[in-house]
Amino acid sequence: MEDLKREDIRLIGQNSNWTAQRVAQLLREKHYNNVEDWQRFLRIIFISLGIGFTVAGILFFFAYNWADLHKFVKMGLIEALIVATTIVAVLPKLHPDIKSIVLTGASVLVGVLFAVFGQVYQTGANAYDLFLAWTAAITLWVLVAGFAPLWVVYLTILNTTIILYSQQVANGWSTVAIFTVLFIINGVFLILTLAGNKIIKAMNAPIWFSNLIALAAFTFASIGIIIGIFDKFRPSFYVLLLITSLVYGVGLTYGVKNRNLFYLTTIPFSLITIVSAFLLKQSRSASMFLVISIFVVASVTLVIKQLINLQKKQTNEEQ
Amino acid sequence: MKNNRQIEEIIEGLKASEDSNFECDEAVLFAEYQKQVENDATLSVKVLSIAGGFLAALAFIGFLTIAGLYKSQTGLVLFGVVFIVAALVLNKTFHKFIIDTFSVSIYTIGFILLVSGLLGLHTNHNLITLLVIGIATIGLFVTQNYVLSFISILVINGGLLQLVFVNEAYKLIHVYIGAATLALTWCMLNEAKLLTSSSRMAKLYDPLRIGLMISLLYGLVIVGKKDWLLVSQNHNWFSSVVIIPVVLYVVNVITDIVDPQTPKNKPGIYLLTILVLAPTVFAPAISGAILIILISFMVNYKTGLVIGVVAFIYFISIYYYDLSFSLLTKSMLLFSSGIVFLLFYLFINENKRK
Repeated sequence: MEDLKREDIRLIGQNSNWTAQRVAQLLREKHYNNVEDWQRFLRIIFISLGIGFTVAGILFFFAYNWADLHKFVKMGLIEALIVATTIVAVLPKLHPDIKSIVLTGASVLVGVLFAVFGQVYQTGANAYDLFLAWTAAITLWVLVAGFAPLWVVYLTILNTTIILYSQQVANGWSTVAIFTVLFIINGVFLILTLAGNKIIKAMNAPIWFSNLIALAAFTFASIGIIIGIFDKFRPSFYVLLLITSLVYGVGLTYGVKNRNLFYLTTIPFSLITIVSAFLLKQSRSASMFLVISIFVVASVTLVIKQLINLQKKQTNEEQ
Repeated sequence: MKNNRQIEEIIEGLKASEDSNFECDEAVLFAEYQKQVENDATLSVKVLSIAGGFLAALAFIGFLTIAGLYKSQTGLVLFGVVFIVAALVLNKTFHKFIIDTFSVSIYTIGFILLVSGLLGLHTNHNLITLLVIGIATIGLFVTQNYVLSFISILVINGGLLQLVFVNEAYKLIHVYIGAATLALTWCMLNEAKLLTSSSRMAKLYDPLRIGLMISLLYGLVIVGKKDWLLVSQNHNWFSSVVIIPVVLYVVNVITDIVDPQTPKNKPGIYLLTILVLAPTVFAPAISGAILIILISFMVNYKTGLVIGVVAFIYFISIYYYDLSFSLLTKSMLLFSSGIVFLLFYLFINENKRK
């Protein structure tokens, strides 16, 4: 009875003569976190808080833009900090998780360095080229560390670079085109994350990470298409439609194959909002709103029914 | 989800490992597991049904507005009541997850229609709020459905907050936060008791837990941001009077569970906790988020842990953003707390090696 889950304890507790004490004891033994879990948790919490607060403090210090501080001192200080943290990150004695957290802090410091550079040479701290340089500068660290939170930082900077570029340089891009680019970038990373562990065994991204990128990619696609529906038709809209249908097709197949309910709920929901927007484009009469509300309820219900059937089939196959 | 063979294995295993007094109703247990197959839904499916329900409700409200059906106030009230009752009856009759999207949507529409009708009839706002709280409470007791219970709890607590705002009794928000803190903590610490009490309570447990957690967050979000919604931050320590002792109590429970053999560590652990909590006396949102993180990790509740961590990061950022010090002072504050946390880390690591 090693695999007694919380759900089993709940159901058996309901239908047996177990006392509350016995259930409490079982929950503690089988389900709650133990000493080792707490030690690991506290280590990660304290090092994350420590690095997070320290780096934020450094960021605020340079944002203060101390006029009396010579520019060489400013940049020298931060470069020294980057060198110091990077050395800590390669100390052999440290736990791999801790090294990665320190390296994540160092990666943020690189951004601070570029911001200070922008401040000193009056290029503005939000120029897209600073973000581009930041992205390029930490790419190698991100690849070597293979640490999901650092990847989140990296992808955030990358997406910011694209948005800033579209605002500062590519003024001619339509909104749909920007969302298409964002969708493609995040979609590529999603596919790399999911296919990665098949190519390289060591590359094993946590599920929350691939789900997060998927959510970002699907959101960009949905917003892009919905804007495209209401906008005047542009070529980029067709590109986005084509790529989205391809990626969604692959995503749904992947979901069915791996019994991954995340893809089987997010993609249909995105499709349902897109179809609703399309219906709204046709007419904004009262009856159309009624049709949309019925369509949403019916389609979501249908999707859930399919998912429950899938789960049933899976349970029976294991028998 | 488990199939028959796995269920049998579990029961056989229990008969072997539990003492001879162990009895269980196998027939009922099998039936319950079967029902589970029909109704078990992962988090993403629940979110899908709630999001779909809200989207449909939104479209339906659009329909009513354009069709001009909002002109008859009595009609709105009437339809509101009919929709709410229909949602509850549907759920009572069909114990299936499949109709959830539909019932969520008509339950939500029902409340919106009822409230807008009553507002049109110039009913007293307190009365409307109390009525909504009352109906949601009845809904909570009538249905045993995850999604509807969850929405009912959110409506009840949202209603309580609305009472605070309607009567401009802003200090009472701290009473709300205190009560929500105590309710959530009690609910999570007494999991075993609640799961074995009655069948209805056991089914209500999961939506109750997540509902109370989000209700506590409602209150924390309001006191967390400076000058928001007319709530002054001067009385924030009222909430801390409840939250900080509760965190200390939870830490006590955790040390008992994790390490009952070494009570000599306790003073050190308390000192550490008080050191971390002391600066948050005027920022109960932060200590509230810490409470959610600790208690969720204790019972291994992952959704709660994620909610707690996101809330913690948000409240910390908003706290420093609102702080009316120069960037240099803020920088020193952040930097020194960072160093303190790094020292904590080193301290824990040293202790481990000993």
